[in-house]
Amino acid sequence: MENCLKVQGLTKQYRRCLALDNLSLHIPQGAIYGLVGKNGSGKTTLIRLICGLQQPTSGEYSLYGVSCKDPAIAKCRKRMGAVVETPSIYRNMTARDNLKQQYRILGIPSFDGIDQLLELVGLADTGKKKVSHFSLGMRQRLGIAMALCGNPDFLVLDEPANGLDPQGIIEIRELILNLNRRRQVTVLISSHILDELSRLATHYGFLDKGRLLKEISAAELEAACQKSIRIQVSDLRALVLTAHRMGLDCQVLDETTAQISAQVSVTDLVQALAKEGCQVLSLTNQEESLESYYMNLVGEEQP
Amino acid sequence: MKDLLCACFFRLWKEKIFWAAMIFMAAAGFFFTAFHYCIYPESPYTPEEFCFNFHWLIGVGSAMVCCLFLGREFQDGGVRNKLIAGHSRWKVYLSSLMVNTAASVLLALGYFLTACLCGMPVFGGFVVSAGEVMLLILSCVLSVAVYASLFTMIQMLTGSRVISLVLCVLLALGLYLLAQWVDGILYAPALLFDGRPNPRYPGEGVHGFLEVLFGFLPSGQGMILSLYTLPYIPIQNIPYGLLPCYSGILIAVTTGAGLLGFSKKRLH
Repeated sequence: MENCLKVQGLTKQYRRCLALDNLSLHIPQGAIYGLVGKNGSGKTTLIRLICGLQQPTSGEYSLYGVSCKDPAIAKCRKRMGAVVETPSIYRNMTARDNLKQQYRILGIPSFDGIDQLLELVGLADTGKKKVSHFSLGMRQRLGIAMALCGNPDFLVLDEPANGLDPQGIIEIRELILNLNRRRQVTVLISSHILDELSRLATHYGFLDKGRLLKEISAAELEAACQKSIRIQVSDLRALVLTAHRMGLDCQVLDETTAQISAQVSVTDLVQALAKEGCQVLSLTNQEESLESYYMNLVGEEQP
Repeated sequence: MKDLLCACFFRLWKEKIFWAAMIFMAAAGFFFTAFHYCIYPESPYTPEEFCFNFHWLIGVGSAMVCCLFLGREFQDGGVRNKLIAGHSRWKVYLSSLMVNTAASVLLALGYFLTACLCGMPVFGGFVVSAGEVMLLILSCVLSVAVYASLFTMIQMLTGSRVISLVLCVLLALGLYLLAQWVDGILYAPALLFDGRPNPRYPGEGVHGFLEVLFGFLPSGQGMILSLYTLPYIPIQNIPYGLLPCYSGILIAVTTGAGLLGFSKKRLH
């Protein structure tokens, strides 16, 4: 698959602070790429560099095959839309005027698509209300609408769920999925809300201290995530013995419950327990989350 | 560039600060001309004086409009947005400079037109040739453009609406006071009433330097231009033809410095 964005050995130094340290990553076309990392890990710095707001200290990136050192990169940026930290919107204007302004900046002669964009982000009924009177969620949605002017192929969203209520988060998620599936828009999202990110992303990049710890696809992540079952039984001793005989790693949680790691044949286990006269009271699948995967990854890197 | 200019002028049209300043300048043009007529109805007062007499207001007016208008670009993320949209930094800078210049010139025009409309019926028309009036207008436009260029540079380099507003208003007031001070020295008589040499009168070398400085400062230029038809101008060799060149040099230097700084500026 062709890469939409390719970053190679990117370094950004602010005086004594190394914000990005020889970072390399690849975003395939059509992907929803989740950038995961704690505060100060370099997510926003990377986004600022990609958007041309700052220059890298060393290394380079290419957007649709055009290097950042090539003057043609400015033209290539017309294919991308971005919301970096706070949305770039004029507070003394209405939502419609802001979109018109964005159309002018992009050199789009007709304002035909504005109604659809307002409809898409749920701001069609804001009328003459100035942006200064909008809620944080409405501003965020307008920011995304601004980024979508000119039908970009690549959308960069820095913390898009910031300040949104649960309903707003769901709406933004639906919007991003919609854009990705229907319009094949490649999306780069940085977010702290890992649970939300795990519902969207097809690829992940884990950042820590300006370095890329791991780049992984959602399918690979799913395979890598350790699976286990949590089982509640009438006779815990029988369960422990049976698990031991079957070569399973069994961790006792309380007087009736234990957690068995690794892939288990549930039928074999239940039949073996029945032979011992042990009843299975409940059985649930446990899956390692993106959050615990990230924590393990960061934990491994700690000295 | 055309897209950026189109977007900037649309925003200027929607900017309340600009319209408030425009109304203020137009009202000032009317008021001060009418005031002069009420106080000295018989004294000769040419349009060359009252139409170009906005020099003491335009500095602060331009500072406020430029900083509040352009500052919003930084405050609301407009500059960032333009760069992400694929416009180069020099285009963003030059489009901002052009709109600021246009806004400042329009403020001056607001004063000029109302002063003309109010003053010409009672004091009469221009007394100098059309060519000279055109030179005065060109010089005025360029001296106003110097203010816009200075304020654009400060705003684009500081990136803060409030800091740049304070800096620019102080700079405008400072330039005005400096021009007044230089003017006072240039007006000082060489000899006192009793025939002794005036200790405040500068030597020939200093006098020459102050004359050039007076012509270089946009505030000084404003004063020189509004004195064009006065018979008692103390400066013997006012190089009227050079005033646009001085302005051109200042615009080139400030724009060059601003472009250089802005091209390296770290944006957030």
